[in-house]
Amino acid sequence: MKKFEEAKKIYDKIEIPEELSGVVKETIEQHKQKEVKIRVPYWRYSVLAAASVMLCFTITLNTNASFAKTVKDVPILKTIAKILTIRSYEEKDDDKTTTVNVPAIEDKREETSRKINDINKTIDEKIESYVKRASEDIKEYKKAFMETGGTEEEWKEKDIHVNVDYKVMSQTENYVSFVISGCEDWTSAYSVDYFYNINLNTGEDITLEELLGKDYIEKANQSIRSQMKERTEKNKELTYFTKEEGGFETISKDVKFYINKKGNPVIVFDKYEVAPGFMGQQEFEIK
Amino acid sequence: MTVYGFQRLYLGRKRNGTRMKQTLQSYLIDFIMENQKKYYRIAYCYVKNKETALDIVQNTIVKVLENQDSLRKKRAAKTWIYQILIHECLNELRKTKREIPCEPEQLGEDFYKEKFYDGEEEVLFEAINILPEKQKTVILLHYYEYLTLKEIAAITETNLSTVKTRLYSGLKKLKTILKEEIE
Repeated sequence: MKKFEEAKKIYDKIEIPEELSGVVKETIEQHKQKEVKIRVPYWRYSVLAAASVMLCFTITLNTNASFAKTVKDVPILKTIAKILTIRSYEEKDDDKTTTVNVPAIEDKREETSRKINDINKTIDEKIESYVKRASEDIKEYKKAFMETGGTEEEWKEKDIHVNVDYKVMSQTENYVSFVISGCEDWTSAYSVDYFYNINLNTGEDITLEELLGKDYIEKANQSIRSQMKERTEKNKELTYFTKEEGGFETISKDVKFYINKKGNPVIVFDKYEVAPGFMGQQEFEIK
Repeated sequence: MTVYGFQRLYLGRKRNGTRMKQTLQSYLIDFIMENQKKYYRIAYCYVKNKETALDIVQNTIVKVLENQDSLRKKRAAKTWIYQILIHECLNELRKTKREIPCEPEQLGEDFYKEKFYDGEEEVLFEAINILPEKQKTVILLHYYEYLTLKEIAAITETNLSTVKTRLYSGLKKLKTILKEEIE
């Protein structure tokens, strides 16, 4: 049996080509995107879901006396501000398909409305400039593609998409944390995430200092380092860049973060920022 | 946290089935990410060619993700992915008809001179590589990837006694090859 161990050593030495992790990552990414293209528009789900909820509601109300009582007891949720989609469009031209959902904060209180309006305006501008840049990128890519012998038909087959959407990470009466993501599906290199953490009482950005205290940089650094160690020890396939490779040293004042449901800040590093591409975006919750 | 990811999560909340799919998919993706090197090495042992082995890994991932609905239990993912991988490897061999010679006597003398080096362990490694497909699969998964014979039975879709038979005949064949080499 010992001989087999020796043979396994040779087996383990079979060289892993550099391309492997890229191929794996790319294949997974492509699958995800294919899946999105055939998805049912989600408003249909909402309508269906709403319909079924109403149905359940009627039945339970009529058949269950104690349920009727429970409904009365539920306090009315007081959401003063909320995030909603103010603009949503899909545009198709010869180069690509662009799908955009623009969010905005809706706040009925007068004290903060001006600041909130400003935020909404910058959101809108940011998204527009992203879409503009993306379409320029794609135009350039198409030009290069055509010049190297590509045909219009082959280009159509690529079916390139630009997507902008947002997600609310957490929300309370006092703050809202959400992220706007933009991506071009022909390359993962041009994805961007904009994080917004807004104090709804003042209309100001929430800072890490407010959440973690004066020594927030040191606190976050320590936590990130120990989480990196933990992850690489748990899974030997994972690696982070070393200092020499330009890896993580310290967070900067304007590091990206969002606030999770527990109210903790989660620091986010872009793909390639602290680790090789296959590790994707890296998140660290700071407790 | 891509756009796609959370749209699917959003759907998941509306419909339980989709949500389960979401968690299964991310589980499979994590699993593939963790084990990609293993998959490559196994593929390489069959096809002996970097590009083809990469292709096989890629095809395997596509098939795993596309057919994930047919996987019922998460814990079966390990053997299920191996099953697809081995299937892809054997398919490739059949397709290109680059089947590796099965019987030791079928191998020319040059093959021995070229492939076998000084160390006995390397002789064993090469000998495993030239075993017939079915025996090779069992030995490879058992001794290199430490899979149990029961797991191998699930991967090769045979029963346990067949796996045992293949293992023993494989070991016997290895002995013959090694003996010839030493003499």
